[in-house]
Amino acid sequence: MHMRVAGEPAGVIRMSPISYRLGTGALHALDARFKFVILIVLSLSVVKAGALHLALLACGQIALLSFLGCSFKSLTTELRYLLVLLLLVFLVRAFTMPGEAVFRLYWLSFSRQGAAAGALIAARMLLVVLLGTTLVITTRPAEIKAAVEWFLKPFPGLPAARIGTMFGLLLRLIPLLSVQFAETMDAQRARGVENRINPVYRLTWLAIPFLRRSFSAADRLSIAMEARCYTDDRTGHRLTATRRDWLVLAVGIVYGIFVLAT
Amino acid sequence: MTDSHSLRMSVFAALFAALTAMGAFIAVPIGPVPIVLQNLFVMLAGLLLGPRWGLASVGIYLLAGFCGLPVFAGGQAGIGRLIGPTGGYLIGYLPAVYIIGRMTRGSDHRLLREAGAMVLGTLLLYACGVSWLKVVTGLSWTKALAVGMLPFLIGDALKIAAAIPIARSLRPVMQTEVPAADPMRMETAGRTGSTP
Amino acid sequence: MNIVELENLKHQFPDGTVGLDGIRLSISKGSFVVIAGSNGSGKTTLLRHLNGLLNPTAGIVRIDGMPVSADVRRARRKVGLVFQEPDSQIVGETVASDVAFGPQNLRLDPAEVDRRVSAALESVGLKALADKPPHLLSGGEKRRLALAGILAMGPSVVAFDEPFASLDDTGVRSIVAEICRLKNDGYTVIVTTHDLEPVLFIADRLIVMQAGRIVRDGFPVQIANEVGDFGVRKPCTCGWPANRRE
Ligand SMILES: Nc1ncnc2c1ncn2[C@@H]1O[C@H](COP(=O)(O)OP(=O)(O)O)[C@@H](O)[C@H]1O
Ligand SMILES: [Mg+2]
Repeated sequence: MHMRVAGEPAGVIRMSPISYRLGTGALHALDARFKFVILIVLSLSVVKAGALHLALLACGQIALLSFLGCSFKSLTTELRYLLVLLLLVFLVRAFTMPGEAVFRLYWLSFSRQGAAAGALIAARMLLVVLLGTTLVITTRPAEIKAAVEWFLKPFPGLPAARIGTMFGLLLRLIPLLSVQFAETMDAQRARGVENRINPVYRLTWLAIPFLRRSFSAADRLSIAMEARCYTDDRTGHRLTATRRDWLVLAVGIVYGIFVLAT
Repeated sequence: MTDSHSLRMSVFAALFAALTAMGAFIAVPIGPVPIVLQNLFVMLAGLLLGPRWGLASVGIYLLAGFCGLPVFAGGQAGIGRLIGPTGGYLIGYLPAVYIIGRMTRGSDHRLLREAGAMVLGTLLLYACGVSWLKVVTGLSWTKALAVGMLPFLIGDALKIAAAIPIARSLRPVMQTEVPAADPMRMETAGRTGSTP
Repeated sequence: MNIVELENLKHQFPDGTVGLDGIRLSISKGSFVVIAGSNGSGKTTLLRHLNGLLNPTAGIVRIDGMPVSADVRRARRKVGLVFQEPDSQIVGETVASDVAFGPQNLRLDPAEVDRRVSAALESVGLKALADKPPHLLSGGEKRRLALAGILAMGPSVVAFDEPFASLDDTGVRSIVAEICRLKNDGYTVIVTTHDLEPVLFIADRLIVMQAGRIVRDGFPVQIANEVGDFGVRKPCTCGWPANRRE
């Protein structure tokens, strides 16, 4: 059985090359909670924004991302599936929406209104993704965790601290499991599981040993956490807001409102 | 002090969240379309963790991705992935895992019940996924179903068929708290005994 | 003064297996004790009683004069356990956040947590890797990271479960060096192993276990030639002094 694990040969799945990068810029220094609020405000305004603002924001975003060390090329390769889907969105709208025909392809007509509507939707989605990317590149996972805990704390019934802990475990477990998966696959291949034709059999005999291993890793992990006195009531990551954070927040909100108003 | 059962379940929920994240990258080429294992892990989360912790595991995965932690495939960080054309499939995991966990909870895990739960869960998943795909792309219902559901059905049937023996074999491991012994001992125990 | 006292300790697992069968043992403060025994002789089970991860079926475990059952958190703070498999005891998504895990659970204030994290990383020589994700570390580095996570909690006893298993020579040496340093710094060190070679000459005391009982207890060099009877690899002393680094 041939299997494909995208990512590094060693078996570690890098979820994405677009991830946190060390840096000391202004965006890195910004309080994560403020970044979240700005991100949400801008995302909401993007959903309503017209072509002009979209173009402006998109240029700004791309410039910002390349300044942060994320090249245009790596962005396009990383987002290729999304780009294909967005192209599909554009084409479907352009060919199905009634309106003034630009050209005809057999029985289909490419309408100007449809193309405009499709482009607008695709651009908005792309921009929301790029906004998210900026946050990811400039914010440590620990800060994201702390900010989420801070936002969830006021909600009764939501165990904010536990959710933060599970975020950390999730990030820790992905590389651990991907190595275990690659090893299990090699072992099963050596035992000739791939020669079996029945796909259910192959799937079962890959998944069972892999999950067994990962379960015992999870068991040991929870014992190790207990041994280190795990409790939900623990010291959190420090988040401190400065004057500059408030200033940036104000600018972001004003711009968002401006986009919505025009 | 946190009680160790809930700590253990949290670790297992995080484990299934991590499996779900990885599942988007792991493709097994069976038949014409390689099948991606993500929804297999979601179904197993329902079967093995039950409705509450199953929901927690999918919820943690989605929330982490929503907040920009690198758990979504293809660099589509944050909200963009969820409101994007295929976001509905991710949201659909929530009702799917819940219904699968709910329907199989506490029963003696009969074959039909488990299979039925997974079929229902898969239908809920497509209900969310395909309708959002239709909204975003503007495709007609028939086209949306043809693009967003039909190609995957054979793979889904295989996964449902595989999920039953997998869950059966792992449920004892899940339920009996094995104070982690030596890995070597664990493995021999896994091979010889502990089948239901 | 005895920091660890086990009185007639018995442990039976739910499935009926007898893990420990009447262990009496006192370990004096600042000593370095090696517990040797074949697989399944009960070493891991014994260590797990020291900080209340397992509860005795009979008998009592005292840490620094106080029963573990009276205050489990205290026992867990005092006895740091470095598990056999380093990969599944690393909790944090970066080296530094893993070391911070314990101190944060002790509810220390953030400045103190930071101080302890950098001190612990400094002492095991991982300061430069603070921001790395743990899965990129080598086997020896992972064990040292696990140790740093324990040291940051300020224990008096550090117990290693099979620290030399599946390590290469460099890894083994780095762990031996850490153990020597801990001993010099006044920690009580307990090491379980089925391979005496790396620790024979530096241990103060050797305890041999078999089937949940202590079968030998004495000076390492005096009883080392008897361990072969109990499924422990006999140290082959030839060539050892040349490798010794002191
Ligand atoms: N969770 C468990 N359930 C039942 N028996 C166990 C369990 N863990 C260990 N044992 C048994 O207890 C004995 C001692 O095990 P252990 O302390 O892990 O040995 P060692 O660490 O010396 O290799 C062995 O016979 C082992 O099979
Ligand atoms: Mg052991």
